[in-house]
Amino acid sequence: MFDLSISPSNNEFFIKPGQKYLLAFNITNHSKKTYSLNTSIEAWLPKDNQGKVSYDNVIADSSISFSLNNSDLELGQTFVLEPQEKKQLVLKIETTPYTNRKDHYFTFFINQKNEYEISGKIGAHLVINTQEKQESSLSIKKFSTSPIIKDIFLKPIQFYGIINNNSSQFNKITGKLTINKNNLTIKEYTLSPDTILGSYSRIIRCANKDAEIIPCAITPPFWPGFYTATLTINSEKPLTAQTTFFIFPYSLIISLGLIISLGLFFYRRLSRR
Amino acid sequence: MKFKKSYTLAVCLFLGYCFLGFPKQSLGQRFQSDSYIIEWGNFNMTGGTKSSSTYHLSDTVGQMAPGEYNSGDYTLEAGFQYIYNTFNSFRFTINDPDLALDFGNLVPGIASTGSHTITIYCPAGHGYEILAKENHPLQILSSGITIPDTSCDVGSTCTPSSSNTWTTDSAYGFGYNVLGIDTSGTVNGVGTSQYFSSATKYRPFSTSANTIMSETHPVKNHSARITYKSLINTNQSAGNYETSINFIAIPNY
Repeated sequence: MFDLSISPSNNEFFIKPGQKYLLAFNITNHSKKTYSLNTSIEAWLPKDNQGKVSYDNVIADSSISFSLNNSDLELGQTFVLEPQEKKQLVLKIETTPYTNRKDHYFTFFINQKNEYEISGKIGAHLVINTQEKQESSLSIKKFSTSPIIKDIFLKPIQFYGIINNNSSQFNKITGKLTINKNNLTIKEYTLSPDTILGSYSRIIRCANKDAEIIPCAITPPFWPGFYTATLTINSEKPLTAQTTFFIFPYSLIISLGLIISLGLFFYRRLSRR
Repeated sequence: MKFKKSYTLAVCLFLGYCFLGFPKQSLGQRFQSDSYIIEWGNFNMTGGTKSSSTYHLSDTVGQMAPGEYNSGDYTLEAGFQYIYNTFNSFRFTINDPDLALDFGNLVPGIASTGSHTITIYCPAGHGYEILAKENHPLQILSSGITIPDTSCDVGSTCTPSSSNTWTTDSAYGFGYNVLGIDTSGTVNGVGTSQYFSSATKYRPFSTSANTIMSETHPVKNHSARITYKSLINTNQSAGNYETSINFIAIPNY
């Protein structure tokens, strides 16, 4: 049995070059077994625009160093966690005055020692920026809707947006998605405050009042007509992108056409008799 | 002069009464009217999450006696801020009591399987990813003879990152399948269907980690069943074959 938790799991912060930062993690053994564990740091890069990461062929910036501030433990040293025991590990992150001024991405791992045939490893991410000044430069790369044929009954209309971060500093997406018909707002969504890493992009997600992720979509039935969807991103100068679409009663017209055609067909057949 | 002395004495008595005479009050706030009494209440001045384009802060101002208190038998986490620890906690479970899988004696041409479940809990954030890797193929450590990692059925080749059908008894090797399950163990494919579309789809392990399960939203206790499969031919050397499988759980950023 392997049953371990780490908290906090996502950490984003700024360190000025030449400065240090301390970060405390709580590691809890929820199982009934004693574990021999050790710690490690691995650098990563974004794998996609939805928050996944890749460790393949990533070279860490050697000007950022890590150590544990615990008096009884060093990074990489084995420690024992008894059943139901919680241990606080304090990670010290040090930069030099020559550290590159950009984002740096790492995972702090807790590794189960390889004494079993099946073993586990759990990690918490560190997103660090080392620029002296904070900057923001976002742009809307794409904003579109699907499906192409929009019917009053058939399918929900999905909204899809990609935001670019043109700076070399991570940022948060804040903004809203508004859907209007005849200048009346029929739906408004708050965007989930997801992180866009420096020089990368991220797909927008919508959130409800409880910050739970919900689809950026409107569901049928719809009134036929022209609709306008506006994506607004909060920035020094708010960014907006608009798309318009037309919802047509295709299914209704096709159904009526079929019924009328069948009616005419049977009417003609009966008339011939 | 007399007035001054009496005045000083009165002030001292008053202060002494204030500090020593009053019964000790608890640190909580107490509010009372004819219709209610609130004892040990927390009346916060402000609190919540704040963010701008450059920071994200959670705070509570006015919380009474916050902090972590420990003794030999207990840990008390007092204060609303600790709720964030709970929400920002990331937990991974491998539900195998011995963390060991024994295929027993392998019979040529007959597949041997074994399974266990894994569970992930990340109630906040952007979801998770679970990866798996082996330290080497199943092998006799003394001789280095291996049971090769499977490449699945002829004509439906699988790779460490792409599953495919493995049902025939003539396709030898060692591989695995992962299927999302609900709390009653029924297959629902949640988190795994993009990697393994059915129970007949397998992949070989690799020494580099490959994703076996992922979701892009917060989840609570989502589980999957890992099924390991080994199939040998009649030419396979006798001996104890072994390997180590490592599962890695990471949150999405």
